Amino acid sequence: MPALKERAVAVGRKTYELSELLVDVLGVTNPAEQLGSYFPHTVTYHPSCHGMRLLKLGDRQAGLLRGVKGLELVDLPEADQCCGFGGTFSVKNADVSSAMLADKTANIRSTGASVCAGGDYSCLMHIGGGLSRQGDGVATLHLAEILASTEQEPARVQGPAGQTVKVVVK
Amino acid sequence: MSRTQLGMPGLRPGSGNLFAEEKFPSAARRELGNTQLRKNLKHATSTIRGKRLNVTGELPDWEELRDAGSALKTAVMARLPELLESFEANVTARGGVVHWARDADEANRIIHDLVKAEGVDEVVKVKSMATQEIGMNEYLEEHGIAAFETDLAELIVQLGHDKPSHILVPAIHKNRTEVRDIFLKEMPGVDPELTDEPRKLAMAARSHLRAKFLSAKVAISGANFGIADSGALAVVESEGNGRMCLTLPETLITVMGIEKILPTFSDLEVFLQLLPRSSTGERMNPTRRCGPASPKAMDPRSSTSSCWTTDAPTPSPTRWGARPCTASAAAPASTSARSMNAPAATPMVPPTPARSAPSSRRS
Repeated sequence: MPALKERAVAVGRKTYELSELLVDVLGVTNPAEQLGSYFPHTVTYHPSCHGMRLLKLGDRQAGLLRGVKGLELVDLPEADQCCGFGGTFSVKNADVSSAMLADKTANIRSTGASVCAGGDYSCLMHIGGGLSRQGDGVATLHLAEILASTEQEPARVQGPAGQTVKVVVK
Repeated sequence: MSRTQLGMPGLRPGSGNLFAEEKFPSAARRELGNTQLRKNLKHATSTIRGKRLNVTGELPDWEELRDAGSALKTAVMARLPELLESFEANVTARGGVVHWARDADEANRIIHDLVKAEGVDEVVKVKSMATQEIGMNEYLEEHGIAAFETDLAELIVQLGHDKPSHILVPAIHKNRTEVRDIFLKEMPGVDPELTDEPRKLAMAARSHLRAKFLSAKVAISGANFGIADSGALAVVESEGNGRMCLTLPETLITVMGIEKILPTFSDLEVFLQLLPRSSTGERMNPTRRCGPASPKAMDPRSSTSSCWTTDAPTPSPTRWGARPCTASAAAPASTSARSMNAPAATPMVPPTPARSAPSSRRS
């Protein structure tokens, strides 16, 4: 299978996670200037297990967030802890998953941020589901949505259940 | 209609403890309501994680070490049969006996026969996940043999008629007040004024265990590593109980899963840097790689002194002296179980360099 391996390696070589593409390939170091990113909110950031441990993204995602105009990034306590989703884990071990999520959402609330950002939509779906049911009005947003938010076209921040939450851009 | 098998093959590997009486999700649902347990776990795991991050951060090549460990294990899997046969040949050449067991039941039967042959009804144990998985203690108990755990946390679990909750920190679910209560209730001859001060608890366990070490004729251990090219076994521990078990009794039975094989002694260099730091956030000591260990790097409280661990700067005694991690490489040894009449396992850490034959001190 050496030929197949070669092809796999070739595809792998040009496959990037979004923040890798932006930072490493496209050289985005200042999203405010280079992309016009604007998001005037207090944001905390969940790094996600596979971004952190598998892809080893390091500071790429948080660095991009810090470069967004108007955005205040606050540290998430125990950020490296899993949110409890883990794909089918959340179905097979729903109670443990929910307990882990409770720790995660408590940490998010403790930051006082109005938005929890991340680079992994599965985690954000899980966390957003928890936050909306706790009625805290903390929204979840993908990194891409925040980077795409500009002064001309600001992101509409909505709760996971579709309800508009308190951080809607004024 | 054909069925597709998902997951592990359906072969039941003997009875043992591999299949819990209760499904994990239902046990979890109940225990999640135990707030004391959750508090204990939260406290203990965050402490250990913090310690681990501290000590792994000291090594600039930590990620490379992990990759090296992973590559070694993958390479071992690719030539497992050959390595196991070479391990068996080298153990046998050094006077050990290797028994092969297909499943938990067979392993337990072999172990029981070996203990029976020594005519004893008590054995001491080094902490071992393999014996936990096969349910060895329970099996031996059914056959009139008491297996005494000598690892502090396993002792707590055993005295409390409990089950270990974590492979590295079996009593992580108990706080020290609960430990004190267990000792007061279950430890013969314990000081009734025992407090929950960690040192007092450790000393109580120490004097309780000392009598067992001195009287036991048979010890049973697991193995962290089995070295194919020499037949050596390595047990990594941090309390000293392991060394007592491996040295004092006349017969040592080691229960080892076939995946514990490493090809050569020098491969330990990678794993002995990874294991103590990654498991419980402890450093292997002394910390020097290659070349003679400097007197400063020797732990005066430890008879094990060598040079095969980390690139970290030589630590001060206060940083690493409190609970030194030591590796005992016992040779000869066996895959499943070994029995010898003479004092058999001479635990030793090889002198520098790490490649030296592990059997040099065997009588």
